[in-house]
This record gives sequence, structure tokens and C-alpha cells, in this order.
Amino acid sequence: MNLARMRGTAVVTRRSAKAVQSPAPGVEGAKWLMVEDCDQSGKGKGEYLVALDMVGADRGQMVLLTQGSSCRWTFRTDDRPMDTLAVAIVDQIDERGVVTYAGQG
Amino acid sequence: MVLGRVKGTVVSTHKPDSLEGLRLLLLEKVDAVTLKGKGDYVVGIDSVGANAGEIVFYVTGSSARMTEATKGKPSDATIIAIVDVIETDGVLTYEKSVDSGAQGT
Repeated sequence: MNLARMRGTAVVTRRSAKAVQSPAPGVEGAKWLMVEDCDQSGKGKGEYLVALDMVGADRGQMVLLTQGSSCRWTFRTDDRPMDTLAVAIVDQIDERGVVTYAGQG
Repeated sequence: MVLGRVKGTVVSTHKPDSLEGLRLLLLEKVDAVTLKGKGDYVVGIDSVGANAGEIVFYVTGSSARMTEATKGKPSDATIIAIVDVIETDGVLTYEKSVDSGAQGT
């Protein structure tokens, strides 16, 4: 599981009929996030991916990504062509007792 | 999912029967902010009817077999969506224009 920053969104109308099941609770329609790989302090690495939002992440928040076939092990993505999910919002990271990242609120 | 631009088509006559009738598209990975090509190419199977010049995203690995078009077929990169708009950090970095469709960029 990799760390990434939620940086933006992609809007899509034409997609595979199977491309997505219902999204995060309380969110209408699928939300495609532009996420940037980041290190444990939240510093971006310049590499972006498109991730399906499972948690309702906001811009700037650090998220946890699940990639590969493991993405299909949720009720919403079972048997669907998904290979990158934002599965959690990171609140805090500490490394050897020192906080390297703390989200807002 | 990875962002790419459709650069062209790939034609093959000698291939497994299971790939018969599927479109093979030449994709170049693009940067999500500048939309510039990274010089990194991949061949993807089309499940959405993408045309040259369009920005798409594709799934890789076993997830590539999860669309109706590629179920049970030896695909490891399948295009699942055509992108209309990309926004990062509140700025529109890409908006599909009417003429971007059939133009090879």
C-alpha cells in the first residue's frame, strides 16, 4: 500500500460499463481522484495516478492506495476493472516516534 | 489507473483467436499536470471506443481482464475510460475540446 496526496479530480463520461460500482458512502457517482505519490512526510514525487475514491478524500489530504488485484476485494469493486483505490485517509504518520505527517482536523 | 494519450493503433494478424475483433491502441503515458507525453508507450485493449488524441486511463494486470470486452482474454492493459476534464490543485489542466477527438496530437 502506497501513500499519495489527493491533488485533484478527473471527470469522465465515456467509460467501460463495468468500470465502477457505487462510490464512497454519501457521494453521488464515481469520483476519480488525481493522486500524487508522496513520501512519509507528504512530499509529492511528481508521479500521478487515477484512483477511485472509496473514502471521500479532500484536496491536499494524504491517502492510502491499494493497487493491483487487491482492489477487487471490496464489495463495491468486486469483479470490476479497478487497479487503484484510495482506501483510507491518513491522519498521522510517525517514524521512530517523530511525527512526520499530521493531517488537518 | 494510469493516464495516457491515444497515439495510434496497432495492427496484428498473428494473434490468439481470443483477441480477434479487439482494438489494440498505442498509448503514451502523460504527465497529469502538463499533459505532456513521457515518452513511455504501452499497447492497450480498447473497451470504450477511444480515438487518437484522446486522454484515457487504463487498468493493468489482472484487473485488465475485468471488462466485458476482455473477460477471459489475455489482456494486461485495458482502456476503461475517456477523460473529459482533469483538475489538479483547483486548476483545469485538461479539458477535452471538440476537435481533440480524431486528431493525433
